[in-house]
Amino acid sequence: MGIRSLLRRAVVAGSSSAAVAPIYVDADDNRVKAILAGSGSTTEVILQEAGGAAVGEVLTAARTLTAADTGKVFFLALAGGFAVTLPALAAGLNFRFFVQIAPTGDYTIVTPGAPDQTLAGQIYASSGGDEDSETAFTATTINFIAAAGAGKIGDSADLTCDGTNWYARVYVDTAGGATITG
Amino acid sequence: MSGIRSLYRGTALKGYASTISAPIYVDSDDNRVKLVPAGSGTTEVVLQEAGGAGVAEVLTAARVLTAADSGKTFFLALAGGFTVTLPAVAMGLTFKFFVQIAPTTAYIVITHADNRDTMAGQIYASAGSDEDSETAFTADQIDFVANTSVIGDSADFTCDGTNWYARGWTNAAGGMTVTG
Repeated sequence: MGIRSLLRRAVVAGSSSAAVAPIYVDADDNRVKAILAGSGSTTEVILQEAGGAAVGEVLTAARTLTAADTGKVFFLALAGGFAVTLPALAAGLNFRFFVQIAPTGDYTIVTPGAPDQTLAGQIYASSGGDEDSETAFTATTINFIAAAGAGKIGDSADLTCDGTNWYARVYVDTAGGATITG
Repeated sequence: MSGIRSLYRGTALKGYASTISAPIYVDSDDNRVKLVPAGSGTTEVVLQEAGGAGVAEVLTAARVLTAADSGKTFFLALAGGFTVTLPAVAMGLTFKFFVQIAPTTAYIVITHADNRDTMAGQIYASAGSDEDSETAFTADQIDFVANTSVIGDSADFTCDGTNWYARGWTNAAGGMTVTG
């Protein structure tokens, strides 16, 4: 008979080896984590949930994301807007954002650092015409635009990292609802 | 010492969560890995597969989805169309749909009866035309429009626990609508 439960605690127990890959549920954020490669204890991978409270989060203030947030969907929920800062570059990191409350001040999603020019991306609008894009990794920021009510409920962005740069796909209701700037 | 070699497989989990234990099993009804990662109860979360039969399904008739279907991709495959009903709202639920057979009667993806006008959404067309949208949580369905929607049209749905966020991608102008 197979196992019936995973260890649940704040940190991984043990370290990986050629024959062992530690797995546990992190009691701090309730996500399943494993060390799938190497022989240390630092390279944890989160096993993605298909749903549940741990995979979605409503943001009402500025937030600096970490690698432990990867795979999450964030709902942006303060009319006055705020900045979300991406974590340090690492292959496979991915995040999704939806506008839950239309902004009167911009929501921004910003690369870490100065910020670093490591972002390329394209914006697609449901109506209204040609949209902003960056076809080189020279951008730093996605802006859900407050001016003239451009940013709308349901506007969204998907971000993926290749370990060196970020790739963004942004979807908006109205022309000019978002920009990618550097 | 080598690690564990298998998960318990049955129709329901064994035991319940505690501060030091998170029950995990393979549900023998749908072959998905489920666990209770939080609390002390029995609220299950599905672990998302990167591929395999458990993560995709071809639909040829109306279907009422449940939370246990979260993370799946559904392929809509009856020219005569049908309705897919989303489950009751819950944080983090996600679904994706692709048109496998172009409809002569609409495919409809509709919110649960208990949460009808809870959807905002936007449609994007390959043709570059202005498309439908709902910028408040007042819609209840996305339609893949008969005789306009084509193979490859798609939509995804995400829930924040209260409302649904829908995104639709279509080839032709008017191929999809968001309505309330």
